Amino acid sequence: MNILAIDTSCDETSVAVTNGRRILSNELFSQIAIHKEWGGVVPNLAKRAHEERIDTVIESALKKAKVTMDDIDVYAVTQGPGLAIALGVGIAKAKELAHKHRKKLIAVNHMEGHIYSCFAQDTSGRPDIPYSFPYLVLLVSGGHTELVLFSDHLTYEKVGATRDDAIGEALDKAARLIIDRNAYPGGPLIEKLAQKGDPSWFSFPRPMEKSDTLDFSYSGLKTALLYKIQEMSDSEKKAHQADLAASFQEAAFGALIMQLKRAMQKYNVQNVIVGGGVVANAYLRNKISKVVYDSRGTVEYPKFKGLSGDNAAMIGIAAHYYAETGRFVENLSELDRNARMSL
Amino acid sequence: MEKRITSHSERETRTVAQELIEKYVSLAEEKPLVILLYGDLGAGKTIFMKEIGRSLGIDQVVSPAFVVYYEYPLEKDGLKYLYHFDLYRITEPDEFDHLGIEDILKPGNIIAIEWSEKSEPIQRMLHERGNIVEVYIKHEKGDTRNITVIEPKDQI
Repeated sequence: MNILAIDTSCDETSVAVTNGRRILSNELFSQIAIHKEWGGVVPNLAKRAHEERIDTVIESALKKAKVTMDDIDVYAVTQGPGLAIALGVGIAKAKELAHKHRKKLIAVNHMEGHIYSCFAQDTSGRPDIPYSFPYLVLLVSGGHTELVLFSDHLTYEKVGATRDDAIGEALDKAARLIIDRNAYPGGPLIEKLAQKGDPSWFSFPRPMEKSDTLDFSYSGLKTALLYKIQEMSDSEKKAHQADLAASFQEAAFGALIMQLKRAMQKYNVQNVIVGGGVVANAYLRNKISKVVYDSRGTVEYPKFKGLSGDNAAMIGIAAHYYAETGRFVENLSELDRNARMSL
Repeated sequence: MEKRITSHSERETRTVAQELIEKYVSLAEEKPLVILLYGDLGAGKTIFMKEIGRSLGIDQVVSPAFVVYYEYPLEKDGLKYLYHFDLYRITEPDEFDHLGIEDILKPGNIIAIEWSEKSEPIQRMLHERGNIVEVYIKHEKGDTRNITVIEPKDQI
């Protein structure tokens, strides 16, 4: 069964053709160049760019997959969470296609897409990683920081989440404070700078250390960084820029590791899945792998380059499991975007 | 009318937010209710905002900074959506031309804007088309915060 999947949840216009877990094509028009000028996503610009690009991206996804629209059996689309008016563009297009070609439509939660990105396969079905439920899932991106218990296909329980800022947002804000106000996207810039710095140069408070929940919080850490920078002289700031980045990153990631460990113990689960854009950070991946291997578990990351950030292939893969159990959108006209959709 | 309140704890700050919503929520039926939040990093805007959400039946209000705003459907009669904006990242006045705020300034909507210090380019539009409540939060010593609420002009 060929699925054509669309994701327009934020600032990437993405369309993919998938078959089971296999990715036949995964096309993406990145709007980073458009938004970079502004230092972040600009809602109406994102909406317009999606509208202008979506047909072209659909065409190239079909072409790359070497199929035509007639070969598509089912459509899939991201319903949320994300930027409301951007989500709307993808949903409208998916409804139009499903209606026109008289095919079924599947609505997917963007976050479950990030989970299934860890089980993606190439066109020849590799790698063939067996599912070994239950998993603990750590989702880390610009807009999300969540811990999810994934006990079977499409079965999730959110056990922890950020109470304020997401990890990616915290890194973005830190980059603005440490480097300059035009530093965007901040995560990769902080990672690069941190490689030259001392993570123990300054000990920032570990968020949620004293909490007995599995939640996250980055608002206070950001304030602590601001206060630290305010008390430093210009020459000090210059001399310790890398140390600040390394120390901040250490505290921010430290909280992720701490809550992951607590969750693994609490639920007695050793197998871990990590998804979302912040997975691109190699330092974080190493830290997580170590924790998991220490407890003799397995850890899965997004399988290919281009799967950690937003993309439609992961939506298509998740949709495959919906299709298998016959969970389709019943009434096309009733499907609406859900900007704060939760697992 | 201007009201000054001293809050000594998170709980008291939340009560202020809760009372504010109870008092003004009905104004949104006729014109969009716009809550402008002012205050520095660490002032307590997050806590205030989370309580506004909770008072409207939304438990998981989180920072929308990454996408500029989040849209939450509201279940109450006469209300449509809560829009939670964070203007922290906005640097250029032109950027407001592309936010789409004009499209959501409609009756039934509640629009809460963090970092309203940056909202100057849209102030006129907001005042012409919405009922405005301004909230200034200032962090004093320890847990003490001074909260100033400026009420809507044409309040019944």
